[in-house]
Amino acid sequence: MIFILSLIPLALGYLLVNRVLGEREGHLCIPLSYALGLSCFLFGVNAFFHVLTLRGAVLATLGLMALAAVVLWPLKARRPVWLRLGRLEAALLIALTLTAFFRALFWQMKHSDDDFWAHASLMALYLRDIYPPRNPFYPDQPYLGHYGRDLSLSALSVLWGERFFAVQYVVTALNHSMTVLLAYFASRRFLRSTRQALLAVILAFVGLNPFRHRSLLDVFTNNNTFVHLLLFLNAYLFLLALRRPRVGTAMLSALCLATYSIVYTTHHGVLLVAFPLLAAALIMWSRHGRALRAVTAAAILIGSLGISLVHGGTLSDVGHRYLFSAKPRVDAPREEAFLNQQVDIQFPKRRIGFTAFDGTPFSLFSLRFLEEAGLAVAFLPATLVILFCTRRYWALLLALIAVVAVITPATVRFGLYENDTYRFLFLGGLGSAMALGAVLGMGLDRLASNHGVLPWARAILAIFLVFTCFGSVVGTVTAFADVARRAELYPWSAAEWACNGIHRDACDPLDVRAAIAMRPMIRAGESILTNIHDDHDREFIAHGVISAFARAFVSGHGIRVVRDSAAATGRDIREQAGYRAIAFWSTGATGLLDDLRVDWLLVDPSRLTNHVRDALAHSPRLRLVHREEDAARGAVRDVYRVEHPKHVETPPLTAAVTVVAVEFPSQMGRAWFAEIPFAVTVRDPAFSGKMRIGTRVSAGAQIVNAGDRVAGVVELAPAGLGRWSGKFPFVSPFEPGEYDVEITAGPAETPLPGPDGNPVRLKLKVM
Amino acid sequence: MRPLALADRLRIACAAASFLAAALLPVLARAAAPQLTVVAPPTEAPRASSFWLRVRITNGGAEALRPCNTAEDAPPPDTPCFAVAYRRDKRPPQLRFSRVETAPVLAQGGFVPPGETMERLVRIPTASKGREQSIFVYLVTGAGGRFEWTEVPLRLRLGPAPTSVRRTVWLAWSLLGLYLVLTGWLISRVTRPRSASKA
Repeated sequence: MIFILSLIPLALGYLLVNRVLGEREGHLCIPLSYALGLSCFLFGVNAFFHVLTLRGAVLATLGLMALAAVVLWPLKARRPVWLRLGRLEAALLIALTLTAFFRALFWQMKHSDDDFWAHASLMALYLRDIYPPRNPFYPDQPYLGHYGRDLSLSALSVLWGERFFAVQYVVTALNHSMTVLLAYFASRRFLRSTRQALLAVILAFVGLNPFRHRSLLDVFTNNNTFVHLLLFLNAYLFLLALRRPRVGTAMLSALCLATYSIVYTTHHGVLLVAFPLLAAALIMWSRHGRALRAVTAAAILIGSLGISLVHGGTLSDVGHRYLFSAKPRVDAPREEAFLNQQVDIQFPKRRIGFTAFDGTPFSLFSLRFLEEAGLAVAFLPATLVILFCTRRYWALLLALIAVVAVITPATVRFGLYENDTYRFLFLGGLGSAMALGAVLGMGLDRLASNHGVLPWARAILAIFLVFTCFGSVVGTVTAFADVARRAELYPWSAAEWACNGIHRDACDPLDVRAAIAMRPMIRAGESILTNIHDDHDREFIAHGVISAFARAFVSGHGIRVVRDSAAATGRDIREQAGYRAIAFWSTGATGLLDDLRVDWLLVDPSRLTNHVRDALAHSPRLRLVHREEDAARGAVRDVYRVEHPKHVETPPLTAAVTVVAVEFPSQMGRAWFAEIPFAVTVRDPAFSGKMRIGTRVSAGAQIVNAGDRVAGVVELAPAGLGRWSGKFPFVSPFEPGEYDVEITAGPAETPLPGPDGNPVRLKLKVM
Repeated sequence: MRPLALADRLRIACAAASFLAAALLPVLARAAAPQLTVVAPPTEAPRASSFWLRVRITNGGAEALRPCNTAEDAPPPDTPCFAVAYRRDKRPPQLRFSRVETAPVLAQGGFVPPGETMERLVRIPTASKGREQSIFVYLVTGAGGRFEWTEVPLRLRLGPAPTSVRRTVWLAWSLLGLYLVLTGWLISRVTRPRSASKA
């Protein structure tokens, strides 16, 4: 029955809309209450989660919201006024709203999510009270990007039996449909014209980008429905606060804007620039109350920025690095920055322009720019002037958002995230499309007589709409037709979806069963190492599934060091198995697990060699705690608990060690494992033969296996007076090229010298 | 009959040895080359689902056997490698990895050591309609700059889809029906001519 508490944010949302904002338009109150309730809920959960568990944070937030509702209840209620909608208007809205809901729902049933590995795993880890977020695949790394959507869904799932996948499906679909309603009724409220609002919404939802056939209706994956719903909410609140400056409205606007910083960093940044521009325009045109409006705008922006700098996410990291840290500012190394989403900003850029997702640069004055941002951007300068002169502030705000969203990536360099400019350009296209729709609607309003719009104007408009909307409409119809044709690919349950349907090659349903069985055994913060992965699964679906269902980190991943910095921009450098993991699965040497810091092994024995299978079965440090079996096809998954020694003893180097012979291959394939025979002389008669041996692999001055160095205690055999021989494990680098390999020894990983007294440097060519 | 001179005997022995070597070389080479075999292929599978094919990989060579790089622009293999691929319903017009679906067998870093045999299950999806389905499985080995493709044709009788799949289909169609009916009904309601006001 606890799920009934989900109504509290909605109830508070309605009371805030009715009592504080004083909104009277009944149709607008519905999506507004929903969005405001969601935003306040996220704000509260995020604040309390710093000091409480997730469940505690949810209950504290709901308690506070219920208290706020009780306080607001006696305030003066406004009777909602319900607009009389035209037939076309109502029909279009019904079609768009329901299509948005079911389109998003069906897509999730088939794909679950875009960037599944990050979102599903993070949601699962919140339920283990892992907060602030950490990278699910590199547990040592914090995850500094926006996380509001995942946190909201995890928090809501606490009220629904922790079924976060089902909560995600429904909330995402609801958000998408509520975005249609909020965009339309807010446009209609501020523009005071059905034609303007309808054209703005149609162009945004189905006619945004006729080249790529991608409009707002098609964009609902991962964070997007939260992003767009709260974008319109913030735009509404800020404009309302400027037009009718009140303390309550300003406070709500500041709070929601601050919350937006953990929902989507890029769009939040755009709003922080676009809002003052709108305030300046509005103050310029105002005859009275200029000072009050200026103070309100400043208070909202300063208040929200103040919260954003401390409550989590990218801005808080920036605040920590630049403002609040006593230490000198240190940016993370490039590979680490990629893993923890640390953004590096450079303004102005050396070359004005954009970088596409595939790394291709393109200019502001190119066809590629129109293809990326949509046709409406071409009209943006003209629409901006028209809207400014006609004082259509709602549409002017959307146009300003578009201008800022286009100029920002053209002039600011985002380092490793440079090719993420598509996020800005989509927002630029969205703002431009809605602004253009408003301007076209104004034109139609002017042309309309008592008998409606003139036939020639209708014909031109119809041709324009067919051209812009055709692609998205066809895409939507195709998406629904696919449900009818291949319904077996649309399971409701995430457990049935995982490792089936379109992701059947990534993993096996047996992996899901094993991960679910592991869930109660695993404690918060523990890591799993698994040999279930495939090189073709570049989205890391298999490990995402295991992480999400077991609610644990999956570790042992590698980092590919890319030497060419230009080529490395935005390139995914993750590898499913790092050097240590490859060495472990090739040898079964449990000593490697200490460096890997894993607590559990999820093993598909059929992928192991006989030697490794025996090594795991007989290792005193591994305890088989569960076996998941499919007897019909003879498939097995073994779950081992890794016992870590209380003190890892590394034999110290007591005397000088010299490498006298190494049989090192001059050429290897990528990420190949080999046991390298070698011999050393040790000037210590008491030497036991045990030595920790590893390698340091470098390309020029860059070490490519830093943090993932394969090293272990090797037992050497005597091979003459003071001479010892043995084999050390080695894994070749991920990238082709030429490398230098040094042999290191001892706890301090000291490079070993050769007979000439200089450190041994072996040459390796990786094909 | 005059006994053969030592030189003649040696010549005959050399010729016999050469002949034997030439005859046995392919057999010896085959023993050393990696071998892929399908173990007990199924004859029946559920519709709209998938079945599992057990593939046995034997590495008779002296080097570790690794998965082939099946990317279109990948260089030909110098060292021994293997891959499993399949195509449903009809044979590919050319034996190239771009014309078939490759099935994951071993991941990065995985290998079959010399002299060892490994068995892996390969998952192949089945059609959602029809009573029978043809599947062409390809066991591919590579070495010395070329690939060798061995075709294993399968003819499967398709049985009823599993209960979970039928439930999924039923739910998806119900939701689709709900969407269409709800949208149609609401639009027809709002576009219906309004009756004159009683006032």
